[in-house]
Amino acid sequence: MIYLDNAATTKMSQACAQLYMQYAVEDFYNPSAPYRPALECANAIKQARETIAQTLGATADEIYFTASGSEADNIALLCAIKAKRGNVLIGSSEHSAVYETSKELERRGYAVRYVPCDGYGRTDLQALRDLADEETVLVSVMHACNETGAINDLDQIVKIVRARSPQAIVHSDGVQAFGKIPVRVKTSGVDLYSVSAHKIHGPKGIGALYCRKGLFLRPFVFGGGQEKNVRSATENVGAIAAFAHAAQECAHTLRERYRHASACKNALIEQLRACPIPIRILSPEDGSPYIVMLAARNARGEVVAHAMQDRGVLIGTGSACATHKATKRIPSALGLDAAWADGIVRVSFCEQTTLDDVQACAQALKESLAFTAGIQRS
Amino acid sequence: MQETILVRYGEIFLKGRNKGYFESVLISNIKRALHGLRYTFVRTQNRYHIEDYDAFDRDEIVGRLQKVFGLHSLSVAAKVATDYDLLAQTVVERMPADAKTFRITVNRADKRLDKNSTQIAAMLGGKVLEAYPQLRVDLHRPQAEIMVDIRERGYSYVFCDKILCAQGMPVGTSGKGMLLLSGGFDSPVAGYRMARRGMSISAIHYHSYPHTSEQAKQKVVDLARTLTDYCGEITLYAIPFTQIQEAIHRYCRADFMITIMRRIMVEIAERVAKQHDCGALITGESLGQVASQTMQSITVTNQAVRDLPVFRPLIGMDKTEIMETAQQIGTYALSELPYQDCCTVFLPKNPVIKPSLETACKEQEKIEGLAEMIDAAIRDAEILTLRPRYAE
Repeated sequence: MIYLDNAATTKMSQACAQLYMQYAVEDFYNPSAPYRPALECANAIKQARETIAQTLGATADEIYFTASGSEADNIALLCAIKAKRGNVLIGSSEHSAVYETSKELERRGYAVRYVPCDGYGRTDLQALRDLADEETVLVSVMHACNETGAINDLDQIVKIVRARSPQAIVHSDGVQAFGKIPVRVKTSGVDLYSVSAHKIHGPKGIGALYCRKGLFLRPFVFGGGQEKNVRSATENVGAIAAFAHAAQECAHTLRERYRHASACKNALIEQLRACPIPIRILSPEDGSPYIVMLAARNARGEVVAHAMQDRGVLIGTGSACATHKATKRIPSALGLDAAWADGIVRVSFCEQTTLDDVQACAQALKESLAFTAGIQRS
Repeated sequence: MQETILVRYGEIFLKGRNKGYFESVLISNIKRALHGLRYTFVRTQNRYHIEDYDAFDRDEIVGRLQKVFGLHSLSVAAKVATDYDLLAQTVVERMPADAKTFRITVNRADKRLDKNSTQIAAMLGGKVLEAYPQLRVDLHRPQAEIMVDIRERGYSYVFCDKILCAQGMPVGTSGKGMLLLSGGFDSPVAGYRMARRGMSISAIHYHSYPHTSEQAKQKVVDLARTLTDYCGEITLYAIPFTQIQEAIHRYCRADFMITIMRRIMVEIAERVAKQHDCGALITGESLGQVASQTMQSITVTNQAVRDLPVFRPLIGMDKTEIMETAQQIGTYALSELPYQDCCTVFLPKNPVIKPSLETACKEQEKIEGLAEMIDAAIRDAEILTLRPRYAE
């Protein structure tokens, strides 16, 4: 079976799995306990924090480990705003971890404004300029779009926000960018940045939030005071150590991986040009090379994915995290009309994807799309 | 002091000469429900006792027994020697902390005692008032009622609460029905309702992969498994319906698609039911709920069933009532999952509300090779035997 749904999750690397196991069964101690083996666990966390910081271009005291990228997004949106009222700007193609949290901000009395995006999922900077004002307290725009792979220019976004909204905090969900494209939080100037381990061959259940020094975070989980009192809980040492290892691996080989993913993306798009069924590629050329999203007319993405599975290729239908809720939020943000909105599928690569895999995928896609076209809905 | 669970049975109490049969089925269902747990089963006149169990298992035993159809209620009781001081001590211990008023009800089977029931109740009530002077006796509407059941052979039961069980008739005493199980809210409730009247349940499900997902099928397996807590073992026939559904889509008028699909579904269900000794079909139809459940639609669907009766226990129920039962029996959260099922793929914009039988038959006849496709679907059915999780 060829796995091409790496934007949903990736296979944990052997090295990460070994580290994970080591801290599960051998060095299993509570890092806060008063004996030497525990101190070694605490040191492992310290080391991991430094590694994650380095890969982001931050310092260790600016990194908070969380239970996931979604949790990092939640903390960023819910625990950093100081002002009691004001407006919040959210990209309209954000992951549900940000979108649903913005709904909570709305319930808490903030006005939430959605910044439109273009047909590729790129945030419209002019619209951002128009919507940001002095009352804006937080802006959250994802770095790389989990649906289309579109990359938002964080430097520009931060500049616009600083000019229009002096008191606003800028957050970016970097889950699909981290370890895949260059990320320097200091250069872009974002205040908060969320990352996750399982998208880069690390374990599930661990993520991190970068929070610029000087910005105060209120507690999100109350308890024993871990993670500088923001997120209490006995640290998941194995996951943290494995996360750091995965991040370092990605950082070391970022260029090679990027080039390889680009070759995969280009090959797939090239081979789909000859597709007999009308399709639209929704991923921009200059987007993340790891993601290709496409839509087929009058098809259902889920059925295409099933037909692909039958042909030995596993692909996604867009944000797997949102499959628990039937939603058309993203297609409508991308401006897709009803004929195309249901027919979205997403192919996503990793460095283990071969060009043969891509070719098999293209072939299977053509067949699957032809199959669904044969039984199109009236 | 020993603890015991007193189990009372319900409707079969009314049975005459057949009572023995109903009881034997009920007892075997109780024993099946308590599979894997250590206990002693004691049968006395008109009630059962579960004894000698591990205290850690008490809640599990109570939870499982509550789902056995045919049982009316149960109580967790203290079993003590019939000694006035001991009884008084036990009654005082069992008095709920939040009660302000109470009564003691004594039932005395042991007629050798020197006091009658009323005298014993008064004596025990006095002891309670000594221990909790703030309490008041209220014989008519007490907040707490402690029951003392004095048996022969020198022991008594003291208990406070009656925990209601699932009622109904023991599963297996009313034959076996074939439940058409979709992933929705209604059909699991329909299965539950018929099992409550003593039917053993088999289930049939139609899946249309790749138009429906594997999760949708898994959801139905999970639903059926949830029902096994009440019904015992369920055989689930998963029928591959893709080819037939595509053919309906290809050959038939869009507004008749659902009607024809349902006609074919019941036809298949009846054949499978007969093959596996089911004496009835069970559906979750509720009159007027959707286009396919109008009187006219049901008439046209029903005509595709030849011999077996179709039981529709929800026919007169409101959706809200059905949802309430689904909540209560634990199928609601599963049914709520948003996976598409056979009935929702290829959904026409305007399904016919009052189909005529003639048009339906004419449209159905347009499908080329339907009989062969039905044979193939039945032949290729996947058969799953589902049991409660504790029985696996």
